[in-house]
Amino acid sequence: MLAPPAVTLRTTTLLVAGTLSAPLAFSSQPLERFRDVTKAAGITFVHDQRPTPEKHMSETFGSGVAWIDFDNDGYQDLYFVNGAPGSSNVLYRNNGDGTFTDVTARAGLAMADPRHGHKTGVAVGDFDNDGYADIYVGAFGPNALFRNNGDGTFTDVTARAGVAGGADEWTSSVGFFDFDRDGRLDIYVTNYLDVSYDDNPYCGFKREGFRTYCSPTIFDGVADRLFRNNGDGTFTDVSVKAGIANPAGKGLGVTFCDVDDDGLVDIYVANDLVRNFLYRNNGDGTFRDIAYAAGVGFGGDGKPQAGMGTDCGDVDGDGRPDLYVTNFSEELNALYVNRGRGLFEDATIRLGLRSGYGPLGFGTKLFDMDNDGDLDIHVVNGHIVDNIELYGTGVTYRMKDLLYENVGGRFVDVSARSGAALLVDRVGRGQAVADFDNDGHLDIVISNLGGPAVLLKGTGVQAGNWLSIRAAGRKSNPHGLGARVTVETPAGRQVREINNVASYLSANDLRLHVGLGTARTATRVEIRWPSGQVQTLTNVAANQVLTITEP
Amino acid sequence: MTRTWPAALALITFLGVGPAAGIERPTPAPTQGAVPVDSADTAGDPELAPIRLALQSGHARPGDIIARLKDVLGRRPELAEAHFLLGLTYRLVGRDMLAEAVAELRQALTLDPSLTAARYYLAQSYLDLGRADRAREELERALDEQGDRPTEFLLLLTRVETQAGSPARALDLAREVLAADPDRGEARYFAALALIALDRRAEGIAELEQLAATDMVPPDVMAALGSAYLDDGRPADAVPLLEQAVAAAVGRPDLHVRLARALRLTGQIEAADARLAAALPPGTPLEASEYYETAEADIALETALVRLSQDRLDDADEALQKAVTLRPGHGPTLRHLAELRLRQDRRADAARYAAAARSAGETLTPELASLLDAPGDAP
Repeated sequence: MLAPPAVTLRTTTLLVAGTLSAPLAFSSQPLERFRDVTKAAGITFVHDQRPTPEKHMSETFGSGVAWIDFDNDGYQDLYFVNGAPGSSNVLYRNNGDGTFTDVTARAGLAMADPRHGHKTGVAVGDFDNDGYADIYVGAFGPNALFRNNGDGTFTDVTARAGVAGGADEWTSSVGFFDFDRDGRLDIYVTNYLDVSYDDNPYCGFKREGFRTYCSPTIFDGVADRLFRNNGDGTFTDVSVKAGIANPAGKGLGVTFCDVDDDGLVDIYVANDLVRNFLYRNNGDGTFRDIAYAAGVGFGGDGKPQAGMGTDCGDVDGDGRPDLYVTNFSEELNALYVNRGRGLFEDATIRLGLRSGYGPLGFGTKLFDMDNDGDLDIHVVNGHIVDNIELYGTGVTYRMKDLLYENVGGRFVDVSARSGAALLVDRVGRGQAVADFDNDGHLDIVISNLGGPAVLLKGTGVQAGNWLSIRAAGRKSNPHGLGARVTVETPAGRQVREINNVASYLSANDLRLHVGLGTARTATRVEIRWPSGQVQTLTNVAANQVLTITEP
Repeated sequence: MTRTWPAALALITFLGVGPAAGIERPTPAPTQGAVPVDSADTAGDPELAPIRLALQSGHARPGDIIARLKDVLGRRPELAEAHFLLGLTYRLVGRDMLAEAVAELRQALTLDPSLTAARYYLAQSYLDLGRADRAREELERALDEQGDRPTEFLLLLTRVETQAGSPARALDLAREVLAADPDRGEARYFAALALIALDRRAEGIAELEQLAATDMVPPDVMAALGSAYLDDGRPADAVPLLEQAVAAAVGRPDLHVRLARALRLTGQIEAADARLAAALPPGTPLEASEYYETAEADIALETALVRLSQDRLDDADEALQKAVTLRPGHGPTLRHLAELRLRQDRRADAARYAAAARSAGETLTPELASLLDAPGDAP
């Protein structure tokens, strides 16, 4: 049963530049926007970090988490990637009543073979177009592709598919997308550093207890990989041909969106202490890095930042996707606002995101937490160096999350007044967003480094109406990844893209969630499918999960 | 005899890596090497000509050059030479842009593997990042690819081997350079360092003395010779050399400490004290590295020795406690602590520190040794 919005958010609305207005009823009072329901949900996953005195960098990495409706029952299940070699990933089936059941063993998704090394990112998508979402997992070692058999089990098809990547390659975030719009999902693999387990220089002070993890600056980057789906269960590595094999990259986060509205999905890679990449899709199987021209490669001072997680979405309601990147402590998390014609503005300070300077950000998502029709921001934080306090810098290892509410296109930091669940210090890494109980309020799952996972339920306090769109591609890929969706209400127009690849190492709900504010009907919903088809629906009732099938 | 430092010094010295947050990092090299920016095998892109000229002139600000190169790359992201020049320019900005310099130089080489000059500066950047192993790989690859053995590449490889702690190899390479160019000052400098490291101190010092007798002596030569004198028990000879070295590299605390030691040993206690105070002024940002940890410990130890010579035992005690906290197993610090405890008539403590000092390889005074050797008194 879908719950109606608890509170009418807006007392009135204003139309500004064709977008939904800010809620005039923005509350400066504390609200419990999210509640920790981990225990009640039966989520007991604890990330296995297994730190060593030798301070191998991979121990700092953490792992991702994915929302996936693997059994097509309409409820988002959860897949946690674990860290240390030999540790077991965990798949939880969503029982539909707010609880989850560990079904890892039956599903065959433990991935506990130590040859994978530290396991890292995770991607969800239906690569074989059989209607069931599959899983791709990155690792500091061979990656793995698991085909969903449709009966609750998965089969490791990595070898046949040819998508293991380099045997010793350190993969970070991974994602499914359809870059060539052939209706078959391809795989983007972000790689991090050229480092082996034996190449482990001593860093930090020599005295006992002060050894630290090294900076990535002393290691080389590794070129990312792009696997093109051949449509027969195999993939071809087209990285070099496609122009994304840049060894300068030290990629951690990746996201996809069509930044220039040409109908082709582009790639944004957040790199660690070297410039970020923005690969514009040329439409002929190749990409061109336009980060220099676009102004999204560096921080406001022109220097590269330590990019971690990233997402794209239209935060200012102008119909163009903007880019958000989490960075290191004492760097701002950067918001690059898309000004069109291939240009972005670093609007971090102007739009009120100054408080991102202190924490070290990882997983992040642009999402409409209050269903008021604009995108808010959540960031999980946590330092790299577990003994950072010894150095007396004032920086802590554990950190609180950041939560920003979008108020009229500017962001207000509501971290400290959104409930006790957001006042917890943690070593956050992976993070993903979905509406796991289909109540219309987006929820957050967090994978902490070396600690228990956390499930934060969106309480829906002061939340508006909503629409959840499950795209069913026919000529396009099965979940419509890359589709551009325009939703109109009397209050304005929102432009969104269907993309579950964002955050850090993690995969989000494949459905598109759109807040409608006070509107009980979306007057018009337009989908521009990756195939090029444009489909329009009118007068769509709010507060439902709507499956839209490509004509 | 005319000894030439790099002919292109005026062009290239600005390519050296600047201080990080006001601190110059110690480097064994007297200068950075020199490979002209237009030595790439490609003819050079016409659009880049004015940028190349600005870079070579040394007059343009790095920020302006970077902006111009980013503009070019915004339009022509596949232009290898632009990535090369950008990497080169990032090196001018300082240590915090070294990783980006490496990234750009690697991208340049991916786009155009024939950009040999990019490989040279890539190696130099690795070396500045403390990755002598990577620097060696790049230089050896460059030497293999070129067929001949250009002096600049050999010199940089010599520096790599010096920094990597391979003096025999460094000496061979330095001699190879000198065979081709007997007046090459850096090669003689590296050869001298190698000789000293190989325990052929007299030869090494003689070489450094010859170098120091020339005009425009690089501060590293003075520092090396001053340090050698100090280690050989010639503090009076060390002082003027180390003063010049410190003046040229005020951000290097290790040189301040060496000068302070030389001053103390020549009885200039107040001057030594002042030098120690200037070594790491309060508020100096420190990297969490062994270099700065050692520097802090050395400053504390030397401060203690100054205080002891001033007969300020409590202050000496405090400084020694700090030194031993920063570097717990350091033999000389433990021995001085033992001696101080003996002066304070705290014999049990003295014995404990003496035992630790002896375990660390220190030779004890007879009085301290007697504490340990007395039956039943050993801690």
